[in-house]
Amino acid sequence: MFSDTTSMWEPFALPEDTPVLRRIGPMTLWLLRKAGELWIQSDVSGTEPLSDAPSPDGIWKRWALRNGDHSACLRPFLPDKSIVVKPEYEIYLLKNSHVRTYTRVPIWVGIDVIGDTRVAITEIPTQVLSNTWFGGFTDGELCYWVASSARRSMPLELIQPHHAVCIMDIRNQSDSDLKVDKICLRVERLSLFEHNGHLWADDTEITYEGDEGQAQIRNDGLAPIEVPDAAIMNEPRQPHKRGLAERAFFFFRETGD
Amino acid sequence: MDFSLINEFISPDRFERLIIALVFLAIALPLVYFVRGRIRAVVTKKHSEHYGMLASKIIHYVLMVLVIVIFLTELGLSLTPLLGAAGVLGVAIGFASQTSVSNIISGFFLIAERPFSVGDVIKVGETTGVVLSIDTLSAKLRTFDNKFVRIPNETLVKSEVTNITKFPIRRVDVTVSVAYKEDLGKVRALLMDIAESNPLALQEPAPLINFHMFNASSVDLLFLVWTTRENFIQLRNELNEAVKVRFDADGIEIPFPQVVVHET
Repeated sequence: MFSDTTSMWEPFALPEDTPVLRRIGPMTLWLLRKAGELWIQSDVSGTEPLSDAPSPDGIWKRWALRNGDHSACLRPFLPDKSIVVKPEYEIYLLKNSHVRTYTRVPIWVGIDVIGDTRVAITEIPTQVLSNTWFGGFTDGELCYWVASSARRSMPLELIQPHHAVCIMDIRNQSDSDLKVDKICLRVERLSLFEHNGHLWADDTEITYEGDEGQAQIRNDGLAPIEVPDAAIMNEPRQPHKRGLAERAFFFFRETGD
Repeated sequence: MDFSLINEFISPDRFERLIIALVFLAIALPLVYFVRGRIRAVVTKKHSEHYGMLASKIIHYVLMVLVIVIFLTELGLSLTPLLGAAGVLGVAIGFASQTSVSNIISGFFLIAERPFSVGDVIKVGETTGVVLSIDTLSAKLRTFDNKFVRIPNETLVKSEVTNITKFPIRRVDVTVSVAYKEDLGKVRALLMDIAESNPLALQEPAPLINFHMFNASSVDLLFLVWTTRENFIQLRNELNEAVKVRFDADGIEIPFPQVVVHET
């Protein structure tokens, strides 16, 4: 489909009445320009389509185009809610120690149409993520749950085109050991970078100082040290908040009847 | 007809005062309603609809008392005997309207304690509905079949009120009955798979399957799955349907009482 994975984010023409097919990981996307409208059909089931033609049973969503909107472009986004992730194995951080972890987060694909100007139309997740609750029974926040765990290393062969690698530097500056069995990664504050066809997010530095569940969270907005030459693809959905103390760790203590 | 008494009572001075008082009233009343509306809009936007309604009511009553006092003063009426009379009248009215007074005071308790707010879904006795307003004498509810229900504040203070939407997440409880012959390990695995494959079910707090009881013809399990309050009804429907579909597909028997009639 593409000469290399980078080209999937480059503009492409939308010929009249001819569906354009794009595949990103488990997502199959058809775009059709027809009678001044853009028709979009997506399938995130991960099943290989029988043909390059759109499914007759698929549901089309339609947008009225402006005159001259004859090309489109896909853009990668991180999900619109925070992600809760488990480490590869339950880990204890000794005081004054730190650990660097890598998590693969399924991206969302934004669709822009390009005419005289560029207009964002919609965003579609490449993978349906489960929801989870991060916080107590009386307060907390709805987050996505990512099945892939936070790893101590990230071999490049594990990174698929629909993944962005998010890096967390967890520091324990409290007077006691920190048990890390679940972390809330605030992806809406992360920038996205691209390097050799792989997507990376900027570092998240999580510093635990002993306040139960709370931690100082910091994002620098720069390409991670693993890929210092990476090109920026997208700004964060929410602006950076410097030195923000937020809930980053949480353990449910009561779930029974 | 003798108009002398009327002419004597409505002297030019009094007539002038009456006109000024009426003009004042004509300007002040719309102003009170305008200020009340603005206050409600601003406070609702900044805080919540509940506080917006509360602030607008306080402003309304304070301003209305002021308007009445100024109106009467403009008419040249002394407030001292009026207040005295109001005191005596108040005692009489108080005895006659104990229920109303009780409702008003209960309304203050409801606003201060805040067991529910405008927009919450509450259950009082057999009635479940969305709170439309908490007023001086009563709270108004809209039931899900679109009925309007008025519940006196006193009733709300005295009775058990369940606020269904107070907390952001809720647990769906599904009682699952299976035949005694079934492998409970397999049933548990199926139920966990049903929960995990439903995107409305939360991963955390994790779904639970608790043993409930040995029933007359079945083993009863409690299948407990958490979701957000908005998705509660949908998930409850989907879980029940999924249990039936999966049990049918995997040959798990859901027993039901059977009556055998012997003809003699």
